[in-house]
Amino acid sequence: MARTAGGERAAWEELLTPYQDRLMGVCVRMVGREAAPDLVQTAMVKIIQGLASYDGQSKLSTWMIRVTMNACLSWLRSEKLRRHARLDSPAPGRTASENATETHGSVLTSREPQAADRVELQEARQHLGAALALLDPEQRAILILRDAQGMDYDRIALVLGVPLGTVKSRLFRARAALRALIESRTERASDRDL
Amino acid sequence: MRLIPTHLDEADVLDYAEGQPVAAGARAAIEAALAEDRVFARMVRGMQADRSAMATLPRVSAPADLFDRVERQLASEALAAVSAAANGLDSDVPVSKVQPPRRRLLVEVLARPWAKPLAAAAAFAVLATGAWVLLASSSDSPRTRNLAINSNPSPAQPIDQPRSRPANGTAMADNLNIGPAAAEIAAVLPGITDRPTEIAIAATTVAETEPTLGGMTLANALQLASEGRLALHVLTPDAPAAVTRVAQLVGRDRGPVRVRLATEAEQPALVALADGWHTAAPGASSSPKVVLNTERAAEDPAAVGPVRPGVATPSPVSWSAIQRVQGTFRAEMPVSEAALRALVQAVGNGQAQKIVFLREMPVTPLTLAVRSAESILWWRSMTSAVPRALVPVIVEQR
Repeated sequence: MARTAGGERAAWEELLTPYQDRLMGVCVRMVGREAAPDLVQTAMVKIIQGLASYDGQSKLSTWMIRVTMNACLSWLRSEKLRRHARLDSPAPGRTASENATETHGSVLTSREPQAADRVELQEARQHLGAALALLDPEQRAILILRDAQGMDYDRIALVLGVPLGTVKSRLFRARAALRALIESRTERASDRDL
Repeated sequence: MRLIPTHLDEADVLDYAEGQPVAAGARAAIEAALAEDRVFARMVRGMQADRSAMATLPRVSAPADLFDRVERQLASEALAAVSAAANGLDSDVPVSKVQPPRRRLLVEVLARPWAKPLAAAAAFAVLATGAWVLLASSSDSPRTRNLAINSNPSPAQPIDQPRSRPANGTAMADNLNIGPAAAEIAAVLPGITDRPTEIAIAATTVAETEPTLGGMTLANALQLASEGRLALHVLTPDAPAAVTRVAQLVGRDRGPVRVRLATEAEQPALVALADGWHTAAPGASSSPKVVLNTERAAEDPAAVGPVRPGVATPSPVSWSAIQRVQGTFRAEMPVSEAALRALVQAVGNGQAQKIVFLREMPVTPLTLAVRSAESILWWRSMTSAVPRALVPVIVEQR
């Protein structure tokens, strides 16, 4: 504890600073803006405590994202169990996807310019955010790693701890599932407009 | 449900949608399917749009107070661990569980009328037996017995010097009259004792003819270092001075070589290594012809694994080795002749030829690790493309 309070903080702060936004990005996309700060904090604690187990076999950033992603997936699993235990449901009069839009959609639209020509893009992103939130966490994870984090298949395999072949098949299914969710949401929106 | 036409491969479609290279035949088949099947075409276009949208999501910033929060959590977890260890929380009964009151057996027995006289008689018998044992043993004092066995005491640790068994190693360092850095090292060495009988055993087990530094060529040493299998063994009659000297290098990171104390997790493995160098056949542990991993792999690929950093696995260590090994360090250096020479000179202090031995470590037993944030930063700050190595430095009393 004394070491943590002393010069050690400067060292881990310097080590983590270049990655903090990236790790926060992973958490926000995975669990939404509300829970992300706590999750990224937990992930960083695990990273600092687990530095001894970093074996240098992968890039440091890959390892950090792996730890963070595991923290997110673990949190999502526990949340799912908690929801089941409470027999929780979306707020009255709202659908699950509307709730999802609140957590993920607001993240996707924030910081965007308000110009009229971007409205369509914002709408698309809202659909994307909501659909992403409804995806199975494992599928969401692989899409975030591939598209939002720009990782290649090898690094995704390292982060998720699965073989390369599994990455490709899981990624294809995740894309297809995301597409199906977005299409159904878009269709519902069109029906409402009519 | 099949999402794509049956004659297409999912992996090819994925590559196509992501704009990755696809074999000419597969590409032609996909494009033909896109032209014929509107649903499939819509799905692929949608996938491409989703990928673009995901890639252009706005950046997210971490909270400004993130590191303060991390620090608080680290501190509270450390505190919780300490208090759990102190209170033995693992064995705690849940607070919700109500336990019926139980009378102690001793209290119940003493309540009987015959119990008190019986207890008094038993106490008297115990006292009488204790007195008899003390009288019987007074004619055979421990000092006489130790002197009889310890015919060859270590010159650095004379047995007639007043001693006290150290509780945590610090007292040991004080007895040896070495500096505070060495005291710190001694404080973390596992199970140190200064019992004279063991010092005598240590003195007799040190081999008379140790291989010299020249026993291994620098080229071989560098090859071993790149495999994570090189160790520096400082074997000297004045180990405390050597420990102090190496300890003075700790924290001085000017230049490409840096020295740190070995961690508690690493020490048993390092002490065991030093023990092995003495118990192995003469010359076997540091022969002029070292066996490199590439040669081992040619004979038996299964026998050669990567030397993976991790927590060192404690090995059985003899008491005499624990006595002799007085300091364990880890040097981090680029695999270069200049760096190795610099390290040897710094450790040997002009006596390298006499006291520093380059040692070949076994393939896998030593797993030096403990990559702290500070250590990783140091490694990453080195711009040189030369690979780096961890070289344990073990200081042993000859």
